[in-house]
Amino acid sequence: MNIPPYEQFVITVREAWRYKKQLSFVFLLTVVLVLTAGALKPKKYISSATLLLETDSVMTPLMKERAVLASSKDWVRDAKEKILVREVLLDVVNKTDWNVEGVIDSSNVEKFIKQVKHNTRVSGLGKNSLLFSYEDTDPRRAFEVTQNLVEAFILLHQEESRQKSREAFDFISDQVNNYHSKLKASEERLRVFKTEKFEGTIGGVGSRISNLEQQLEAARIELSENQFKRKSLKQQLDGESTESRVQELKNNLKKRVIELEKTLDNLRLSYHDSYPDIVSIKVQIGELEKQMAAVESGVESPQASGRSNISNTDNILLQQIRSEISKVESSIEAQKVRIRRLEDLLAEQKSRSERIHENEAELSELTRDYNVNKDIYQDLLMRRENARVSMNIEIDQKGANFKIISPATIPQKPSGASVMHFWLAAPLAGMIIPLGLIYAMIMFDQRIRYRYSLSEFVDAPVLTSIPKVTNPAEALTMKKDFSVIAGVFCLFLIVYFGFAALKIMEVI
Amino acid sequence: MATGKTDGNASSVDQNGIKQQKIVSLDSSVDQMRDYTLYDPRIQRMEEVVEFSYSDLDERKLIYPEMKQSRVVNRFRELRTQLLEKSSDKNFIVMVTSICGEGGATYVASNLAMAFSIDSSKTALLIDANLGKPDLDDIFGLEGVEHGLTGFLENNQVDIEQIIYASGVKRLRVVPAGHRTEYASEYFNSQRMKIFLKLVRDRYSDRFVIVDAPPLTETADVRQLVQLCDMAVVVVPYGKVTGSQVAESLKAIPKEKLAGLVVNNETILRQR
Repeated sequence: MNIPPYEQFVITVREAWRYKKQLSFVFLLTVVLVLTAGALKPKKYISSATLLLETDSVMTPLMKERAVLASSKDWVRDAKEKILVREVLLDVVNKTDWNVEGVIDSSNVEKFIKQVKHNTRVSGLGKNSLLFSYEDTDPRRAFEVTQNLVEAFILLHQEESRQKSREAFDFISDQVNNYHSKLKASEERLRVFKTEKFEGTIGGVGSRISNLEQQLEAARIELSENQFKRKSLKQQLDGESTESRVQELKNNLKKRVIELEKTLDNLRLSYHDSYPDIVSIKVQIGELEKQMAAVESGVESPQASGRSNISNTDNILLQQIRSEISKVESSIEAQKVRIRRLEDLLAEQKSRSERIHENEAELSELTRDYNVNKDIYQDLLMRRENARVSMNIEIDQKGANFKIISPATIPQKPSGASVMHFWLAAPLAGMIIPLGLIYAMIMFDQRIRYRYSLSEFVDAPVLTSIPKVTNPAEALTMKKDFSVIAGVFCLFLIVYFGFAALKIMEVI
Repeated sequence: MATGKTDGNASSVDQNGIKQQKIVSLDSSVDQMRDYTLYDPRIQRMEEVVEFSYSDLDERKLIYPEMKQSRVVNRFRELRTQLLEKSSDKNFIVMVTSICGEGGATYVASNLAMAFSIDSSKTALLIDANLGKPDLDDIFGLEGVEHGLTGFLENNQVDIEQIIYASGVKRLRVVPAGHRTEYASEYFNSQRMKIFLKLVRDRYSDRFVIVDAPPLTETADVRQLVQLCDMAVVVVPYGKVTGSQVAESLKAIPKEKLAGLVVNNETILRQR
């Protein structure tokens, strides 16, 4: 059934009117039950204390970036974790007067621990405030337990803060020492390397090599020059002693032969062949031709015969050439020696250059290692000093601490629904419950109360619906009934609340 | 108030029970009834009737155009219009029954008759067929009348006009149930009943016959009665019957005769 809310309300009121007698009974019953429940309910007392985390202390701005103060976190959870542990609860239970006869034995203790754990509430009141509350049937006990819990929490908090900052300092200190020794080791390695393996710089070696190479080049050029010079001098020397001199000799002989033949021809013009001069010239010519032939056929004879006329000039020249040659050869020898030496030096420099490069890589690694260690060490040193300040702050209790801003008190009134609440709630419940019952009845009752719900069951058309009609007599009865009920109800309420007021004011 | 007037020769038939009833001659009784159509002594009788005042009507929960709860009048007019539409404006016999006892069938039937009588061009005849528990005599002050429907059906000597009574309302006549009987089905089965209904309908074309029938769940009589009527209106009382009960009860009425349902006593506070 899908009845519009307004119709539902009207139907409910109508049905309530129909069952007015039964509902009145339910009303009275509910009132009585609620009041009985209120009277029987055990009284509970809640004591609470509020703590404020003092983060805005004088230290905070002063120590900014120097010391790390405990940061904000989930304090409620933190507090619960701290205090709702057995040791703390046991301590609290032992400190509290439980008002039991005899000694608190182990079974009692367990019971009380459970009770404290169960009835303790920790809640946050804003960002940095905590509210501790404890509920008990005895107001004094509620107060004592709350106070003990709060004290325990504050002590635990301080202890923890101190311990934490001490731990932090110790840890950083350890690290500082660790890095200090590491730094020292890398420093030592660097020093050893520098002293043992120093080979000069790459630049020095480079210039030395290029210098040596230049020298070697120059020496080689000089050597090849001298070798060429020696070769040409030797050639000169060989040419002078053989062909050129034979040719020269022949030429000389020819010239004399031609001169003698001229003279002979001139003499023949005037004289007979028997003329002595002619005969003598002829002999001379013959002699000369013999010589020429001798020259042409071999060197023996002309050498023997010609030495006398050429040796004068040639000897000086040859002498010069030979001395020149010997000079050149000695310088060639000297240069060869020099070149070898230079080559040795160059090879040596090159191998040194290789070594320097290898060392360079090692050196840079050692240096890097050293630098890293140095940086970390310096950083840690600074941190250690910060941690030291933080620790001192915590030790002097000037860090983030909880301050009790509203201490636990002995509750004067029981908490929860008071007597007044029950007296107020009873007639309210008495009205709501019957209406709820009626509403439920309408919801679950299958009887037709609404014309549109008919269509779910039958396909016959609903022609119309007739509203309830009352004749004057019925209307009068209804009015009477209503006035009687309203009157009785009002009277009841007046008496009821009058009685309730007296009860609350504890007159009765 | 109006009382029946004996006309013609009085019957000597024993009226102690239906069993002893003798319908001597159907033809003669029909003839008698035919005679009835020839004259109309009611007008004379009507004049004796004191009309209901508004407070009388209010007291009886009968509607009138000037009444305070005007929407009740409107609802019944609406119902009348719907029935007229169904019959194409011809006059008809409509049976009004309810799903259960105290369902308001009598209330709906009498007010439907009132709705017809409000219209000056129409007249209404209200027949109390709830023979087991007749209510109309009470409403229209017809207690102690000489003849009712049962009397008419049992006794051939009783004429139709003897059982049609003025109601205290213009253009509305009432046929009271007569004496109580638990054997309604015997009456409804009788030929006389059949002819009676046919005659009262056919006599005047502006007369609408409304039959107040017993509740569906209490008796099977309605099954016979509905056969004699042109259509049936079933009253569903507020908060008394479940939907499945309604569906089950409606099986007693042939579909073609069922005009529709009327929800009575519904919680309606605002105008819809």
